[in-house]
Amino acid sequence: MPGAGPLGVSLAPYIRSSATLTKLFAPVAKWYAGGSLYRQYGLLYDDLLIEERPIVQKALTRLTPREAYDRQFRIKRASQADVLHAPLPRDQWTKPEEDIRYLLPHVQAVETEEKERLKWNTLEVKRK
Amino acid sequence: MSFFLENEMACGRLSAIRSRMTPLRTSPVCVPRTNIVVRGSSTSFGRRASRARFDRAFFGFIVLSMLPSARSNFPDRQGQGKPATLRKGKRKFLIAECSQKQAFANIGLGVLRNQISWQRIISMLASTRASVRLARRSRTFATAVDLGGLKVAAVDSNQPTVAVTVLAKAGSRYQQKPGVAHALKNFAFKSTADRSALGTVRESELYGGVLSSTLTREHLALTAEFLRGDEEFFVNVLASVVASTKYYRHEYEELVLPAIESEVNALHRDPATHAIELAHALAFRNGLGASLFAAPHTPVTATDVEQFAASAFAKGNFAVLGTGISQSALSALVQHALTPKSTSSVPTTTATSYYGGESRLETHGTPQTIFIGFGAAGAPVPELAALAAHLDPNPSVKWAKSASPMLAGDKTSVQAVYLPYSDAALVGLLIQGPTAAGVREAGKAAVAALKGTSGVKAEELKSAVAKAKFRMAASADGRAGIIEVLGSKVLAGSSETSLDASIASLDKLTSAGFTKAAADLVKSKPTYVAIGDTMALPYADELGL
Repeated sequence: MPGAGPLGVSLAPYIRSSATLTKLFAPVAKWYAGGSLYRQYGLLYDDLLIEERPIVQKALTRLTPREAYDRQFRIKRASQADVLHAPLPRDQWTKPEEDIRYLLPHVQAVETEEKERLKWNTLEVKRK
Repeated sequence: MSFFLENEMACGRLSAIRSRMTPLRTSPVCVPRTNIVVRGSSTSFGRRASRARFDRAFFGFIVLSMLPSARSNFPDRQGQGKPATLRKGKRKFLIAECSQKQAFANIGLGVLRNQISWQRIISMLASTRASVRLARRSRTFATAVDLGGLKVAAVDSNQPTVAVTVLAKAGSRYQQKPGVAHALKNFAFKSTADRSALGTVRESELYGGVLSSTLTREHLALTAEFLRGDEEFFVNVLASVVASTKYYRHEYEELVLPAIESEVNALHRDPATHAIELAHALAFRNGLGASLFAAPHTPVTATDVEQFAASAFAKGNFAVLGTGISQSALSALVQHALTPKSTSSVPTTTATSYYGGESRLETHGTPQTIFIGFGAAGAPVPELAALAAHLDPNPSVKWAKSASPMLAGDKTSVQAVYLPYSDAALVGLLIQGPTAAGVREAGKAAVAALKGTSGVKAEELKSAVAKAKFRMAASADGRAGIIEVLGSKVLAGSSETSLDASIASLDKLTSAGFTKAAADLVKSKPTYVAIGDTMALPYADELGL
């Protein structure tokens, strides 16, 4: 079922494929990302990915030790800020250029592997 | 001394990594070997019935494709093109065509139509194959060719299966970081540009092949064994492994490191292999002394492995060897599938010199083990092979009682070890027993035997030479032996690809030469390893070394 994976449904690839649509939507997307406040709490977008799924759990094991440490740090810092009911000081906000999808490639790789495994598991061999 | 570790690979339920320390007795090189084994399972394709149907169809197809004239009607089955499909009409035509091979056709069609029992098929096949084999005696010596820096050699003795090996000069003696050769060995058949690790295993499974990688001190061998007719697919798999393995960090951590760990654990439970490993480190220090095994917590990273692989599979550093396939067919397939990259850095190693020394390792729960040996730098001389055969106290007939004082203790075993390399050799005796006292007695007898070769009688020498000759010839009888012998000669660029010269050199051996070589060997510093209860096991000087 499309959209059932951890990454959800996305129109982004379609929009990115068209120059006009990109031009139209990029400012809106930037404004929306800034407005959703996770950057004010020092998080990256991939920190918000729902991790209670086997695929994402597996992807998390593939982070480098540094990436895993930084993720833990960001989540802890954001939790503390949340307890205090206030965003972080401005110098600790995530800058838009720092907001990279560090987990996405791993999640996609694990998803592809799972799909391939399913394909081989349910393979029907036909005589030619 | 043989371990089979089966662990479920990430590749799924059907496949397993089977890891094996080759028993010292049959192959003294202590090669860890990993097989990706295709385990026959009735649940492979969901239902038992569909699998059986597939087996039957597949087998029938194979039998039909073995028809010699069928092959000549399908030129692209032998070479580069895509595999031919055997259509129904064409099949009938073929069968009418080749009346001289009617038996084959009958079997193939019977299988496809579900008319013949398996027992019947096997007996029919046996008789047909025997007659075919008698009729078609092909030449059995290897032919080697150099395809612009890529060496290809093959020997076809009409076996029912084919093996293709990529043999690289990338054994543990060439590694720049400890354990990287072992890691590369276990990185074989992981994700490539063409297919994933899972895909490689599952697809090979459908063809019924076995993929394995073997590491020795000199060479790394990637081998595919399969039925005749599947050459194209498996050469393709090997080519993609050589040219485009991805060396992903996550595969290294999830698949390679556990395999390394289990092999290292097996080593620690096998004192014979461990003693030989320690003996190499003492005898040759660097280069040949480097262990075949990575340390339990290896500092090697996936990037290190990738760099080592790039130099290992550089142009001119590896050869493709086949058994059961003609040299021209293999060359054509290899040329089509593989373009080796030329890099400036090929793996280098230092020239070997012999040092010797003593090492003791405390273990428990394993047999008491000592190794007493001597090494010699330089190309191995035939006298050393004869010496090892002379030292071997084991009777040639099963259950016979040996008169050797080394085997006086009831449960103590003694093995002669002769490990020839390109520029050194290690000769010695490996003694194992349940008690340290028994091992001590056998050790004393072994030292006396090593030092008492000056009084060797003419008939003893004659039988030692005969034994050495037989061992040398028998070692090149099996597939692994052929690859090792042929591969080292092909990689060295030698045009001589048989063992005839080595065997003939044993014939020329004289009593004086033998005594002198043995005396020279024993004059050097001994290599002594004790593993087990180190409080009770003897020191080298206590044995008279």
